[in-house]
Amino acid sequence: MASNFANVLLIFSLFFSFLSNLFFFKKKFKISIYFFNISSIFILISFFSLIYFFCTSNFNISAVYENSHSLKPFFYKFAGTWGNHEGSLLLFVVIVALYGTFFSIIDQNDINFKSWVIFFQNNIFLIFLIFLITKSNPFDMIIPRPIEGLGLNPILQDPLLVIHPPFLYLGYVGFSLTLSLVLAGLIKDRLNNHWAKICWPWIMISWVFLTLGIGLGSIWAYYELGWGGYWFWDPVENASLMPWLASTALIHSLLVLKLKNNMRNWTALLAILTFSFSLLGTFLVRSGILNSVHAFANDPDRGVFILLIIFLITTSALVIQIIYSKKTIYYQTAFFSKESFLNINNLFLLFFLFVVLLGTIYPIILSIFGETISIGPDYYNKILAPFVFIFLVTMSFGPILKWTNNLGFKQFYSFITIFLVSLLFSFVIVVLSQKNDIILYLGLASSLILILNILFEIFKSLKVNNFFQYPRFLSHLGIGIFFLSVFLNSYYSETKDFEIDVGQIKKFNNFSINFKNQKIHNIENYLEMQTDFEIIDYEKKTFYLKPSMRRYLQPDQITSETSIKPTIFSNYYLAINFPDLNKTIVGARFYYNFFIHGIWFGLFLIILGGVLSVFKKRI
Amino acid sequence: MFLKKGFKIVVMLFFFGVALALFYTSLFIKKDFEPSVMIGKRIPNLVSSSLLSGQDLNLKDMINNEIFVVNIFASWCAPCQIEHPYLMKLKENNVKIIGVNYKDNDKNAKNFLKKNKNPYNGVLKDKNGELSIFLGAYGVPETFVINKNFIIIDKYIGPINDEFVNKVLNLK
Repeated sequence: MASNFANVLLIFSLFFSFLSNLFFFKKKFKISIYFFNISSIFILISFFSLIYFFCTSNFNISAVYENSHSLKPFFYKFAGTWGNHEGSLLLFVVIVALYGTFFSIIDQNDINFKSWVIFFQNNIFLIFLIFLITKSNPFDMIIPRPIEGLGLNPILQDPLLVIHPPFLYLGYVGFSLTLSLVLAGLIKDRLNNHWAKICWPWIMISWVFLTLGIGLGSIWAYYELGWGGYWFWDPVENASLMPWLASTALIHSLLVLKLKNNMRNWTALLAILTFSFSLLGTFLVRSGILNSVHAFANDPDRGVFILLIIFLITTSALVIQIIYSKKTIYYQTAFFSKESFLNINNLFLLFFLFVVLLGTIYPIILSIFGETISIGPDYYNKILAPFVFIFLVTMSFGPILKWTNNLGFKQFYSFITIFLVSLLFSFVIVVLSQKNDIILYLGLASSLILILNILFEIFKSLKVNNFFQYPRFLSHLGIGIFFLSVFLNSYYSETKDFEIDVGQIKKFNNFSINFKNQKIHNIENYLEMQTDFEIIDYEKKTFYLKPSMRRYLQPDQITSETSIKPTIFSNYYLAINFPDLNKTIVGARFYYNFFIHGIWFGLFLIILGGVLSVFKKRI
Repeated sequence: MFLKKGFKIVVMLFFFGVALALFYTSLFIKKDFEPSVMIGKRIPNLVSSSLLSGQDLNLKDMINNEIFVVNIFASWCAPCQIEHPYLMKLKENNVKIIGVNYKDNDKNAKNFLKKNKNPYNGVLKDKNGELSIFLGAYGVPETFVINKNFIIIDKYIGPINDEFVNKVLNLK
């Protein structure tokens, strides 16, 4: 019954989506948009009903049976809605519809252009809706009703993980609207500065969500997964990084289009690429082509469909782009001008994108020929590091240039001063800390150049009360702090795995770890082991870390609590695992994570800059 | 002008066609050894109650200075049936195998071992998947090769095969 009701909602949604297309071709634009919106209302109700089925543990619905359990906490029942393949695809389709509907309500442009945008959005929606209904219907029924569900993967039961996928989707899927805007702009010959202004907030909203989604995933890996790091160059992480790089390039070329009415074709191409990479990310994660924490179902048949959808959307978008592209009139710009540095920025970002793409899909392609390789952090770090240095320096240099013309000498002197100060300062840090490494030196120097330049710019803007550039200041400052922290973190952190008994002292490098005490409490249905570790750090300061673990008896499960001591510059992080309850010896993992807060703070600034730029007064 | 655009479209379609074909083929390829953050790390000392005896089992008490294999399995997992003969083959060649029974019903798991024979030297219950998370596992079945010093040296996602068996036997 419940299943039938929900399926009817899906069919209604499909029906109105078809009607929307029909009226579009009959040039009844208002009605076409109207039917699209009705279609989104139906898909939204069907999503709410799936949430309802999950919350009420309706095991007649196969997605609920396979991914939930009546004893799960309510929060995770709720989140289970998108913690599986079918539900997450429904969420995907809902977000496509919502972006379209919000655009149709908010946008004040003429109905003709608007209906073209909605037409493309409707067709992206339609393609995924057909896939959803035929190949991964979340409302498939099971008769007779099972008594109990199979449960949600415990690794997904974490508050951060509950919000991480929806944010990523709001980012990924938001770029569908960008694509629709580009295709409508191409066909109606509207790709100009006015069009760029319409696009800007929508692209920025998606970009902010995507950045937030990636950041939350990273924080989860650090605090919950106990891996002690924040980025592993895992193919699934890369899948989200690729659309981020493409969209960041898009934002910068859109800036040129918005302010100088230039880079029209290039912007269109980047917009198509951005959504294609979002789809590729979905494909890599959802098709089972990669084995990972994130892969829900290893079902190659579904993978084939997603693959065909990517092919269809990307190639038809590119065909439209090729047919409707126009020769741009180039105007002469000096090399030391904003335009050429924004071009350089685009080239760098696309180069990073290419490196990540190659590292991600090369093992997949090679597997066809029976070869297996694994591409680890070394590949990315070694190839990307030298280019990141140059990228950071151009980032600090580009924005202070003038549009079109060469820069004046005054700015040049301040830049050179900051440049030299940063080189000297980094040299002092590297020498004093006795880490003579050229990569570290260049990394510190290039990020300092960026940070100091931005701070100098902020100082100047305060004097004249000009807040117009703040979104850029914050994001670029965030990038500088982020990379500074990444370099510091990777060169000054320590990690150690060891076994330790009560009373033992382990010493390594500059740390001493003393296992002082262990207590086992017998509490109701679990045993809790509390431990006291005395840590003496490199400055001979003493403090305690108290990781603990619980062993539940019914059901039999073990949970562990890491103990983290944050200081101004670092985190001390200690986790214990699986002691033998009859002996006092435990396995321990100790991390000294230097400057980890800087990474989160950098991310925060990047996102804050993005949020501000959504609301920035359009010029 | 049109010819030029037509040429661009053909080139673009060719390029994406090749990409489509490559991805399509690789979708159906069997997955092999996968990199893991746990490789090269010391295996945590897994402790849980035994599936068969109900008593506490401790990984380190079962192993005596030898290369061994940890296999995550479940009775409800179809690929686990497929890999079962290869686990038996390892057992016949005196490789110790520790089973981790992932999110399973005890009765079903016992029946599974009764029906297919038991290749394991000990089976740890992993009712809610925590042990498997500590191993950095992605799903079932998954198999880890661990050396004498308790360092994880390899991991295999999906059902193991002859090639895997030979690789482990060569390490012995």
